[in-house]
Amino acid sequence: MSRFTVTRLFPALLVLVAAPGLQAQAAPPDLSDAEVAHVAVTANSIDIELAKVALSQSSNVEVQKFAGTMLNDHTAVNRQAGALAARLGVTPEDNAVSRWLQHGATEARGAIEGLRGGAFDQAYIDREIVYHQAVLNALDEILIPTTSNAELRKLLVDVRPAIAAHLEHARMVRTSLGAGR
Amino acid sequence: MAFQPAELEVGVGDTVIWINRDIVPHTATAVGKPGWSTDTLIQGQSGQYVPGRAGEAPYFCKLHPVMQGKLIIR
Repeated sequence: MSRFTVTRLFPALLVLVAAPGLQAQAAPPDLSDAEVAHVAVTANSIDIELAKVALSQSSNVEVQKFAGTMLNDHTAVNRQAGALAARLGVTPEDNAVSRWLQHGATEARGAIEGLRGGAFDQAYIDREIVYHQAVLNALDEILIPTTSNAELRKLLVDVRPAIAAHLEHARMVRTSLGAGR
Repeated sequence: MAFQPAELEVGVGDTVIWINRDIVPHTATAVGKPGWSTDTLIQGQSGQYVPGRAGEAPYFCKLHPVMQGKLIIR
């Protein structure tokens, strides 16, 4: 699958999920800042929860280190997002993008939780690659463009390099695990 | 997410200081033998290293191995 296709996949899927029965459109949904804040907290929490699963189930050193970094980094980002939302008086609001992320996370967790050993490690890291790519796409195509508050937008822009580094880190770990399935 | 600058020329005995301006924690840790490392630095914290002899000193972030830097010590 080409990089371009992956990039375009997210909003198309999103619109399908958000508006069942309607034809898929290219236009991203327009979220309020309270909804963007909810997406940000949801996206971090999802990766924190999956990291906890990996920390308890994996015995691979590189996977453990990666999961530890995910736990720490996404916790740090959520702390900042929470503090900023409180300072701005914004109460995060549930929305279609949050639900779409949560739905995907529940499915992914169900698919990998029962795996053990190398099969678990590969499935976890594969999921992390897909997930961080999806979050990058969401940042670029939905969250950053739709956010009106300058401080909230700056936080999203500041977080983006960490998400990109996580994606590269996941690819490194994936290579160390080998291509075999 | 990167060390800025990624490459820095310093003298033996200079004090090199890393300041974490990022949201997430980082380290500056020697690649391979010398074994030096800053502590884990959260946002706003700094760590330092004083190179003892000339040469190239590659380093990375233990938490984010895609982050790599190098000191060129004269």
